[in-house]
Amino acid sequence: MAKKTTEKKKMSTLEILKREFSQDIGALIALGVIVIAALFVIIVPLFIDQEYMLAVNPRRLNQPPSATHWLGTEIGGRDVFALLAIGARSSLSIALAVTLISGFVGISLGVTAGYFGGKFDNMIMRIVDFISTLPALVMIIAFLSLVSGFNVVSFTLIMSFFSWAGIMRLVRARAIQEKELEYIQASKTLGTPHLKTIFKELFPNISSVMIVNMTLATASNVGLETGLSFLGFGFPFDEPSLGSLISAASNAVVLQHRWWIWLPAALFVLILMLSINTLGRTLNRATDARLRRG
Amino acid sequence: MLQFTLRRFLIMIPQLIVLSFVVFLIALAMPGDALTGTLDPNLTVEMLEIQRELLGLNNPWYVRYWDWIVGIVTRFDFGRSFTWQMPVTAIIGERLGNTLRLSTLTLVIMYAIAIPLGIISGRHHDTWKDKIITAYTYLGFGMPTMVAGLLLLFSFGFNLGWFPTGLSVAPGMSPDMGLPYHLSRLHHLILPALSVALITTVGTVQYLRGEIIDLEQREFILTVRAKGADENRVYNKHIFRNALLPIAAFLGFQIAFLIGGSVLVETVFSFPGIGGLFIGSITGRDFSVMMSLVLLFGAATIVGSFLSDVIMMMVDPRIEIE
Repeated sequence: MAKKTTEKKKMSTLEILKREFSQDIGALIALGVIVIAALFVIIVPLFIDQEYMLAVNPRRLNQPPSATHWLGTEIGGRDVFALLAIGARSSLSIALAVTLISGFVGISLGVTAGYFGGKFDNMIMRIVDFISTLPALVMIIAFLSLVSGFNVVSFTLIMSFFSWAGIMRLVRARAIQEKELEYIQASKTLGTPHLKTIFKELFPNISSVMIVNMTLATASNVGLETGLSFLGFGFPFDEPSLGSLISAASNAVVLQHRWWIWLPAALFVLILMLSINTLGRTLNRATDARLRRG
Repeated sequence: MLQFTLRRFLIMIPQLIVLSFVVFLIALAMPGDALTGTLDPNLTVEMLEIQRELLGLNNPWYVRYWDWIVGIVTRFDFGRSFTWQMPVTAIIGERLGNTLRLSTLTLVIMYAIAIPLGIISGRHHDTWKDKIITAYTYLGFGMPTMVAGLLLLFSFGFNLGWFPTGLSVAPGMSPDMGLPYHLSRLHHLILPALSVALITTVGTVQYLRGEIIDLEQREFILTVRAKGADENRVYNKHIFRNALLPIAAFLGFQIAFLIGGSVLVETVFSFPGIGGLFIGSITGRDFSVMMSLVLLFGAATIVGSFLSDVIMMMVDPRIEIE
C-alpha cells in the first residue's frame, strides 16, 4: 500500500516536470543544450586523436580555423577544438565534484543541525557565519597558493570547503520548518528512530530544494573554475580546461587577433551557465506550486 | 537603535580576531620567511640568522602572532614588501585609491541600471518590456564577470578602440595636468566598471521587480487605490519607496562584494588596483603584502555586512539581534 502511493507521487512529479518544460520553450532549449553539452564532453574526447591533436607542434602555431583544425590551433600548435572538448570535460567534472562534495557536507550538516538543534547547531552555525564573512574567491586563492603545483584533488577540496555554507543554511532552515509539522512529530511519537525519520520523512520533503540549489550551484562552480584558472590558480595552461583556454586571452595579442583560442571556451561557459540556470529555475518553479504555470 | 548598532559593532571584534588568526595561519603554512627575499650576497648565513633573531622570526608562533597584531594595531605597521622594498601600507595605499574609484563608479552604474529597469519590470510585469528585462537578467546570471570583461575588452577596447585596454591612466599623464588627467582616469575606469556593473546589477533588478509585484497586492496599496489616488502616485509615493528601502540595505554587501571581486576584473583589464596587487603578491611570494590584503578583503566583507545590518535596521525597525 505504502509503495503504491509513493509510485503514484513519483508519476505526478514527472508529469509536473513534463508540463513545466513543455510550456516553456526556454526551458526546453536549456535542457537540450545541457544534453548536447553532456554528450559533447562524453563522446567527442573518445574520437579525438589526442596524440596528434594535443601534441605541441611548431609547424602549426596559432593557425586560424580550417578544415583540419575546426577551431584553429593555439600558441603551442595544439588543436583548439580538441582542447575545448577535453577541457570542458575537466571543467564540468570539477564543477560536478565540487557540487556533490559541498552538497553532501552541506546537506548532512544542515539536516543534523536543523533536526536536532541545540549545541551542535549553535557550534556549526558559528562556523558557517564565519565562513560566510570571508571573501570566498580571495580565500580560495590564498589556500591554493599553499599547495605547490596543481593538483585536481586539492583544487576540488579547497573549492568545496568554501562552497558548502550556502546549501547548509538553506537545508537547516527547511529542516527547522519541517520538524515542527505534524508528520515529523507523528513519526517521532511513534518511536521511529531518528535516522529513519530523517531519511524516510524529512528527506523526501526537502529534496526538491536541495536539487534546485545544487543545479544552480553547478553553474556557479563552472564559473568559479574558469575564474580561478583564468587567474592562474586552477588548471595550468598545458592542462586543458575551459578556464585555462580563456586565460589565453590575458595575452593582449591572443585576445585581439586570435579569438578562436579563447572565444569558443568563453561562449561555451556562457551558454552552459545560462542553460543550467534556466534549468534550475524551471525546476524551482515545478517544485513550488504557487509559481507553476498552467 | 544606538544599542543595536553598538551590539552589532561588538560582534565584529571576534570576527576580526578569528580572521586575523586565519590569515596568520596561511602565512605560517607558506614556505620561506621575510628574509628569504632580502638575499644579499654580502650576508652570510650567520648574519641572516642574527637578523632572524632580531626580527623575532625564531620566536614561537604565538609570540610572532602577538607582535604582528600589536604592530598593526599600535603602529599601523603591516611589515615590508620584499618585492617592492617598501612598507606594505605605502604600496597598498597607492593601489587602494584606484580600486575604490573603480568600485564607486561600478556602484553608480549598477544603481543607475538597476533602479529604472527594476521599476519598469515590476510596474509593467508580464509585458514585452518586462520580458526583455527578464531576458537580460537571465543573461547576467549566466555570465561570469570575467567573460563579460573579456567580451567588452575585445569589442570596445581592441576592435572598436573606444576605450583604453589597460592601466588606470594614460602613460605620461600626471596629476598636475588637471582636468585632462582626471578625464583620462575616468576613461580608463568605464570599461572595467561597466563589465562588473552589467552583471552584478541583475540581482538587484530581479529583487526590485519581485518587491514591486509583491507590494502591489498588499492591503495598504489597495487602500491607497480605493482612495482614488492616480497610478503614478500609487507607484512613486507608495510602492517604489517601500521597494527601494531594502536595496539601500544591500549597499554594504555590494561594497564588500566589489572589493573582493576586484581580483578578477583588475586582472582582465590589467588595472593597477589591490586585486591585481593581490595576485601579484601571491605569484611573487610577497607574503607581507598578501597577508595584509587578505586581512583587508576580509575586513571589508565583515564591515560591509555590519553596514548592511545597520542600514537594514534603520530601514526596518522590526529587525532584532541576539
